[in-house]
Amino acid sequence: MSNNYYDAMYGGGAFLGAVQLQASGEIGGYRNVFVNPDGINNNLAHFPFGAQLANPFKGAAKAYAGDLGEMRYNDKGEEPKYYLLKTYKVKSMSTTTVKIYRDGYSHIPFVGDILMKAPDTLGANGGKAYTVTAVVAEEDTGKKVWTLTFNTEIDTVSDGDVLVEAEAEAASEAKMMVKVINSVLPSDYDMPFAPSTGAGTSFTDAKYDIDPVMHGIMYIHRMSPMPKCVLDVNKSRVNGWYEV
Amino acid sequence: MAKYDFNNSALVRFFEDQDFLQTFVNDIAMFRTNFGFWRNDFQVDGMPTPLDDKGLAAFTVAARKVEPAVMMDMRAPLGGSKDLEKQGFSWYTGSIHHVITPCWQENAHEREYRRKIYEQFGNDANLMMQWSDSVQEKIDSANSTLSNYCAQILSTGEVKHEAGRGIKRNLLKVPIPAENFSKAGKVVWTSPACPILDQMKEKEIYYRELWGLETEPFKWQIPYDVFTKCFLPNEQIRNWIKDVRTNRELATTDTMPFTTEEIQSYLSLYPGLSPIEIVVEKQYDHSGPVHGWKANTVVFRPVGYAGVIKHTEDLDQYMYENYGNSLVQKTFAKVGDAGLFTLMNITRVDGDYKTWKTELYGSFIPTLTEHPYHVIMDISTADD
Repeated sequence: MSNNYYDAMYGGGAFLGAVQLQASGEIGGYRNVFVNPDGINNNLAHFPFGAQLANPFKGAAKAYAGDLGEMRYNDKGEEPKYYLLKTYKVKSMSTTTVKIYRDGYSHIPFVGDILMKAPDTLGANGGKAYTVTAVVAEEDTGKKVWTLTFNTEIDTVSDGDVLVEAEAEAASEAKMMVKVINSVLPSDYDMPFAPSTGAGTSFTDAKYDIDPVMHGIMYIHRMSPMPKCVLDVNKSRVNGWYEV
Repeated sequence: MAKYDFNNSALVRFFEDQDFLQTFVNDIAMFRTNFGFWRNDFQVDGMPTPLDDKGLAAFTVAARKVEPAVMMDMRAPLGGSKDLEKQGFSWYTGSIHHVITPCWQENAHEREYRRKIYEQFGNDANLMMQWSDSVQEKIDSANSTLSNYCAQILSTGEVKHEAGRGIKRNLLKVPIPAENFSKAGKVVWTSPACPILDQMKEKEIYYRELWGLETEPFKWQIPYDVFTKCFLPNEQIRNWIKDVRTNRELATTDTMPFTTEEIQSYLSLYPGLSPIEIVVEKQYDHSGPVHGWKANTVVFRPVGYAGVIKHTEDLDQYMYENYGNSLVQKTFAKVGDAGLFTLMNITRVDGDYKTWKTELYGSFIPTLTEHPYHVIMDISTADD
């Protein structure tokens, strides 16, 4: 019998018969997100301790190489928490329904996510933030999308705008969850275990410990979509590059 | 001019020669296991738990549940039997996290400064001694972390990492049956008038009958502070000792003090009570001394090891050996009991010079393998 928790939870039990089952899928291609300049780079420098992912996805999901985030320490540089910058690029909006692009390189939205239109300045308060109550994967005018339904209408967004995670619901001045961009993921991270929590009190929910790196130069067009407030803190002066 | 060539010193070899490092740390005279409380009650699992590609090192622990055998059914001749419900077993899974000690580090300028200070001694013995002391400190840090976990799991059934300066959270919860969480009895133990021995005996009879384990060896684990504040001044215990001494025609007074050893020795004569073991454990965190053992808690459990230490691999050595930068040099050595911990020496480039760092890391967690028969008692709260 497998000692793996995942196997035990999903493979426990006995059936004295036969089961027929089939699955198919594709392992997608990959794209290099990192610029690889000549010389000795110092990008793969990990943070002390690493941290627990404080805002995990609410189901099986994935974070990508080049995804930005915030390593948040206390004033002594201790007791870290890591906040992944999750972004969702808007295609269209109609009252409480927002369609976001679904292209295989996008962060997956979940029921229960609290999202908002990205504020003008990173770390500043934004507008409205409300909870996603339904997520449907479908096609819209030839493009794959997720159709999100919110419990209340958020600020007006249109094609190309980016939604981000908020700390909590708010009718105005919602706080964006990620406040500083100071880290980047060096590779893809698959997170298949759910439910997952960012709090340390549950024994049974999956907790993800992760140690991003402090530096990186990425091709913007290969990264997860970024709102203007994140692009504004780009350290690179090269067009098309993003540097943390 | 320097009296010795530092670059040919043993200390430098520890950072460049892995075999030399492992030989040095293997010398049992060099490093001790302090904070070895965990070794009293736990064994290290002979096999490491694999770390899978999803970053999960998961294990399963199972323990049989037994009930007392019942007497026979009377029958007429040729009458058949009726079955009993079959016994099950209790299991739980868990996963293993990762820990690291504070590091020792030094840059080239700091090292040159220290070399000049020690140059008068003509060799690098003092530099090595300082580094060796820091390694002992790291081994102590690892053993005290493990001892803290073991004290927690014995006295609460849970393991939490609340120490240090890094990630803090709950780690493991053992499914000890709810009926195994007990209270003091009719009277709290902190009262000098509490008939502690009678209450302990009553609890022991209750649990042995519950499980049908009348003759199996069990023991009581009493933390030292409970022993001193509850047992030493307790009237029933003092009277029992005085009665035994009087019976043996030994000098006895009403106010005579008793040593810990004497009390344990006389209590072993009390009928119907399993042996009492006094638990002494303490660790240190940045805030000062801490105890993993929950306050005002005693444990009644089967004699022998309470469980095993599950452990898994870390990625550091694998990543370095497969993808390491040629400008960075790392040496690794297993240290501690059963090689549970890994010492890593790192030499890095910093500008035109080098920097050195020593870290000790590990991935381990204790488990209970007798949890259906593990009783945790709050002696500060009376029974309902």
